[in-house]
Amino acid sequence: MLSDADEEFLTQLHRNCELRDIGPGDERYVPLERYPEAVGPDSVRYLSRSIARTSRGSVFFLSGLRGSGKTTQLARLQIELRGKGFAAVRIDAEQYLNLRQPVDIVEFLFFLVGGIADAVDEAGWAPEQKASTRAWERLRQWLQGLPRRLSVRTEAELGGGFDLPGLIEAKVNLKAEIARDESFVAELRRFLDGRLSELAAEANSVVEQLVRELRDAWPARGQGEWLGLVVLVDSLDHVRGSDFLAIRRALVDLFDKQARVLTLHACTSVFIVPPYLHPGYGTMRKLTNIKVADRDRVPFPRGIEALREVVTRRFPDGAIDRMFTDEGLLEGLLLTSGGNLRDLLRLVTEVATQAESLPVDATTVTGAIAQIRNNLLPLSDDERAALARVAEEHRAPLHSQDKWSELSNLFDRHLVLGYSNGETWYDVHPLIADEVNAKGAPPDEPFTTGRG
Amino acid sequence: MPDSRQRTSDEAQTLDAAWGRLQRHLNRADNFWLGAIFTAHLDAATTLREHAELNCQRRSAPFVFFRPGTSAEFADLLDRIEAEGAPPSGCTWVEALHHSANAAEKKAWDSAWATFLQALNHRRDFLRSTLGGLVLVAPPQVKPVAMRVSTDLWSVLAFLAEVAPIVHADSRRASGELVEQSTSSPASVQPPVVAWEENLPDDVSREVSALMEAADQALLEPPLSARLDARVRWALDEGWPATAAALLVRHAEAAAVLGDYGTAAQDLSRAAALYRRLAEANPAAYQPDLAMSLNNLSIRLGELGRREEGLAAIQEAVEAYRRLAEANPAAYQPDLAASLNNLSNRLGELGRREEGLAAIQEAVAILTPLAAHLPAAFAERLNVVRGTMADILDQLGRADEAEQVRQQAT
Repeated sequence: MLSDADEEFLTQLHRNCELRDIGPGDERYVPLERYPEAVGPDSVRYLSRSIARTSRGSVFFLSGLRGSGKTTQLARLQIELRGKGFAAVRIDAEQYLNLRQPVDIVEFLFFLVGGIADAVDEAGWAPEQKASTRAWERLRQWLQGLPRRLSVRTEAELGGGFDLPGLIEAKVNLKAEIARDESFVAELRRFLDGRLSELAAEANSVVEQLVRELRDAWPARGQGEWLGLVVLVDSLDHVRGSDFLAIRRALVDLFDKQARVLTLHACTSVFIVPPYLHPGYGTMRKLTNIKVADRDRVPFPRGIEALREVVTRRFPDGAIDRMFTDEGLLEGLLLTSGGNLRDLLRLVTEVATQAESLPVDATTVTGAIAQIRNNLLPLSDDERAALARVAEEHRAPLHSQDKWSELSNLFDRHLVLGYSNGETWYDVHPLIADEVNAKGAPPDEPFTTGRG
Repeated sequence: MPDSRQRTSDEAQTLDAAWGRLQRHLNRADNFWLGAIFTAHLDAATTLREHAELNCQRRSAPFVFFRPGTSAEFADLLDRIEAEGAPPSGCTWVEALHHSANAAEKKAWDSAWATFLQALNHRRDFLRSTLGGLVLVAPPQVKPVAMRVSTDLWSVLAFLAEVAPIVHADSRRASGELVEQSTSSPASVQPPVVAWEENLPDDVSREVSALMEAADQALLEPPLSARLDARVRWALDEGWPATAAALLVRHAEAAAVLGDYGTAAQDLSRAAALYRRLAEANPAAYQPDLAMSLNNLSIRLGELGRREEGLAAIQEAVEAYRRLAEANPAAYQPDLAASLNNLSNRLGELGRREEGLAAIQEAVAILTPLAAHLPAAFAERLNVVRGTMADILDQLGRADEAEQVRQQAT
């Protein structure tokens, strides 16, 4: 039976484990870079160093699998950069773009410019008049000032006969329309077809003006020497949608073919991108899950130590021994998470949910593991085949480019976890490893439709 | 590391177990959390919802309930949730179970769920910043869809329950037969047991649904019974064997409720023959149906005193469940235990008590760890099995051991 004190303890633990973004400064935050053997090189430190050493206009990329802490690390990077004296802002692509549809450079530039201005306002750095209002207004005016085109489309195709400048005049919120109205975005693209250079020039001009204003006001705000504006762009790894391949292709095109247009010359940019994106320019840093076992599934002590610290900080007063007195039981739970932080917290929460007394026994822990394991099942035959291959080869099982959708789904569902020690390698999530071993179809050409 | 495979009975957790866990999430959370309940049973969903609503009332927390009446009503559901959903202290409950036998309707519902989940996935940040608990109640087949189309959402899933009735003790038999219901474990993500062909003509599909519902509620009065018979003949003539078998199973259960074991046995025998052929062509889809119909046939034959035939049926059922349990222990171990219990009864009736004892010992061995972990789900079943074991021990003249076994029963 749980006493009232136990219930209170478990309630607090439950709340501390809720999946919320936490950053440095939160007492639950663990600086995992202290465990480089388990998490690989400190990407944030290297990024921060590179940004400080390069000139404005540089582009950097940060990628990683789900549960590897990308957003947390981006928050850490922002704090580090601000600590050094940079004007570092974070903008969330998901707040501005419909990532369920293929993204085009046109709306992406609108997002970058508008997002930067919004973030500058949020940071309280803007001059007297709001930066965001002026930036969006300037973009609107620029659009309205462009010569109108004679349309060869029928009225029906135009959906009522509007043209873009007229539409913009009627629209109150350009930002909201780009995020939510697919027809508006389509119209925007059509209107700016062939005018990309002009758009890029205008976008750069707006940002340059903003940077000038920030630089001029910087010393007066007690911020010290002006080092530059750094834009951290989050959530581009959240591209989803029924036509995954088209969405992925659009993103690859955006960062490869449109790199010149995409680069904002007045600032430094850092993009969080999905693992399948490998731009041929800029610097890419990767984040992985925490290595709790090696390729032969032998427990890796430093990784276990890191996870133990993560979990301990979630317990009220760090009283982890109130729940776990059996060291083996706790270690088993940590190993079962595969070093995926979300799953680790879910496992701990489930143990707390199933606990009928404290400390918990093996039955409770086993029950919690079975429950969380069930979140990952069932698997289809092709998924089993792919996972069997991952377990055997420790590589991402991709045989052709058109299979990215399936592979991405395995990553997104954290059925496949990635680790780093020298090189990135992959393994099947421990929660389902026995499922794959027991029933894995022969690892013959997973996610391919034929040989050759 | 603990071996989770030994404890996968969670997949077949009962309502009580699901509520126990859900209650703790309701009581302890103070921020956004996402829950998913997969069940084919409206009454199970209703019970959990009523408990959850009461729980919220007791805590003075808001409880907001959405239930789209048609698949089309999903279209503006997300906007309604954003506008009317319960704040962080409360719970927003979205329930949409559908039982249409009409293939087009079923597809529309499943498609509506998929679209809704995609939209939910996209707007999750807004929901996370405004809502408290968000509990989605959906049919079992939605689970694999949810896992694949709303991966972001799924990755923050805090609570998952799959409510699956599997077997229940038949209180009419002193020896405690375990009768299978005409439903499968949703956790196994198999097609529902006694599923019938989805591409039936719409009017037939509607009638089949109505007939089955009437049979389930033991409302099969003579006119309805005649219609059901006619529909079985039609299904056989027109080449819809799964529909015919499903109707026969329902008819058998309705007949058994009225004490007409002869009809029940005859129907189940015909259903088993149909399922046997279907299972040869598609074992994954129809082995569970075959095993279930044989198990229940054995019971009805036993009631008619046709013990040898009953033994043959249950032996075939046990072998089928053994294969199923090897492939999917979570879904079928309880069924295997139930069929072993019934095998033990058939063997005992024929005087083959030592063999009966071996069978029931295996059933006890399967159910004991399950009941230890999930007493609400399996304790009653274990008691029934122990009762059978004690009876056999008595018949073998091992009264002391029988008494010990009875004492273990709670």
